[in-house]
Amino acid sequence: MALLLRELEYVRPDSLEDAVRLLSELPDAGLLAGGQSLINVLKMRIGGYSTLIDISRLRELKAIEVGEKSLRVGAGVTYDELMHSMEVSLHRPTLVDVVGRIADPQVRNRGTLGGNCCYNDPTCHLPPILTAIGTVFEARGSHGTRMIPASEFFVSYYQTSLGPGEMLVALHVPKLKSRSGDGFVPLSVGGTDVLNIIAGAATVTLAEEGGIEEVVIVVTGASERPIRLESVEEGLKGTAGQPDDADRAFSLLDLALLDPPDDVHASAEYRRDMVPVFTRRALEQAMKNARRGIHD
Amino acid sequence: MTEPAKSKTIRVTVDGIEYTRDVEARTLLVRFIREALNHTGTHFGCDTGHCGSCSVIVDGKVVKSCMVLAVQADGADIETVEGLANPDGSLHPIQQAFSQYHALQCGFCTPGVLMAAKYLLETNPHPNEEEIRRGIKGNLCRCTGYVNIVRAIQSLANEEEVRV
Ligand SMILES: Cc1cc2nc3c(=O)[nH]c(=O)nc-3n(C[C@H](O)[C@H](O)[C@H](O)COP(=O)(O)OP(=O)(O)OC[C@H]3O[C@@H](n4cnc5c(N)ncnc54)[C@H](O)[C@@H]3O)c2cc1C
Ligand code: FES
Ligand code: FES
Repeated sequence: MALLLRELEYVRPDSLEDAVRLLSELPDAGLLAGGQSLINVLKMRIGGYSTLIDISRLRELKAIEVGEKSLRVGAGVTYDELMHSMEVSLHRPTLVDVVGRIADPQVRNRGTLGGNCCYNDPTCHLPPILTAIGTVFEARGSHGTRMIPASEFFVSYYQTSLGPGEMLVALHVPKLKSRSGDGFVPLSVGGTDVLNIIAGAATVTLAEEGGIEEVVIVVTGASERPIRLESVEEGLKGTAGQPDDADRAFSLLDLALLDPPDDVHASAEYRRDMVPVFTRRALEQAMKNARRGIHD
Repeated sequence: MTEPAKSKTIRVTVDGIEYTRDVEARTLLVRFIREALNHTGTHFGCDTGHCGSCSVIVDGKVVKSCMVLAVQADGADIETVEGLANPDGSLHPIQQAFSQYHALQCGFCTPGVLMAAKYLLETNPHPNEEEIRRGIKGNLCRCTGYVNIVRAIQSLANEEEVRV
């Protein structure tokens, strides 16, 4: 039979304000959102906190609001709630698809967007796609609110740029523009979306004539943080995005950028080799989705 | 509750019966159900959120009870495998289907699979095979190879009126 968790204190504040205050006042306190990673961390006794501040019922973290250019999704929204959001299906459908691939119904009923991003496990589904689509993270601490672009939010393995006493309150997700599409293709253990070895994510906007106007390509699992393949992006811009355009653009991939880990699931060499394969598939998916929009 | 504490008094309803108990903050919901309430129908397998044998339905949502603290369930309505059969002992339709289609062998996974199946049919009354397989993806069974589990659930999915 398994070990008990180490003794800990628990508090469930009634408001976001109280949660932020407790987080900055209590020594060694941490936030408990869906618990689908943190509870396991506590079981392994490899870290964790002596006081848990339960934010899973805070209504302020549950809202999904539609703004002019972006959606503001509360950090406490669960994967299951996101999958059933009409607003997200309409304005950034890829997120509904991506969260629907995470684990299983049980994990999706509790796991939250905020928890996924703040845990920032290199195998997590959300960091790559959120980076590709240009999400901005809204953080709150005792000093006030701060907006952090995805490119600065995900710092390294299990690390984000949130400071002590700071919590993520919402994700600002740009609405999908016309003639645009997203793609997300993970390479996972056994092909079941469990433990992504690497994940490619992409977003493209096509010009009216159908050529590539804007493109962002991101990979995770190939370095300590999500990386953008900027040389490939540059090579693709202005082209028709045909297979030989992609061949040429991907030949510009700067492999020195990659510093993949070597572990039981995959060697560093294999990960490096798979980067162009999976990012290219993500690009193709994004192109397909963008073209579908054009013909609507 | 706005002051941190090592233990707390919680009130939960489990299979229709209300309980008020003091519980340590570190107690997992599965241990609370099994050890404090003595409802050992819910199983405790991997203790890492992978096997699903501890699945219960909390306020209408299936969860793995080894991945939730008991204090987090304060005020919740919890359904476990023990609440499926009628008080007179007659089986729930999902249990009947599992029996009829031989959807269990050792039975260790079954309490969790039944709750995942119940949730699936509640949220999607007519799932196709793929949806059924996705619906029980969080539940590992080392005996059956899943085929008969899928058949049992499919037999209910095909009925016009599914009582769950
Ligand atoms: C069986 C299983 C399979 C899984 N498979 C996948 C998978 O395929 N893909 C995937 O992406 N994930 C997977 N996960 C992980 C899951 O997605 C977790 O839900 C997620 O990593 C953490 O989210 P959470 O809400 O559960 O956060 P918690 O576990 O509650 O918290 C995780 C960390 O984030 C911090 N935190 C949480 N919310 C905030 C906030 N608002 N501000 C600041 N810090 C915060 C916590 O303090 C903690 O350190 C799996 C988990 C399990 C148990
Ligand atoms: S015991 Fe909870 S998932 Fe295995
Ligand atoms: S019947 Fe034995 S594990 Fe499923």
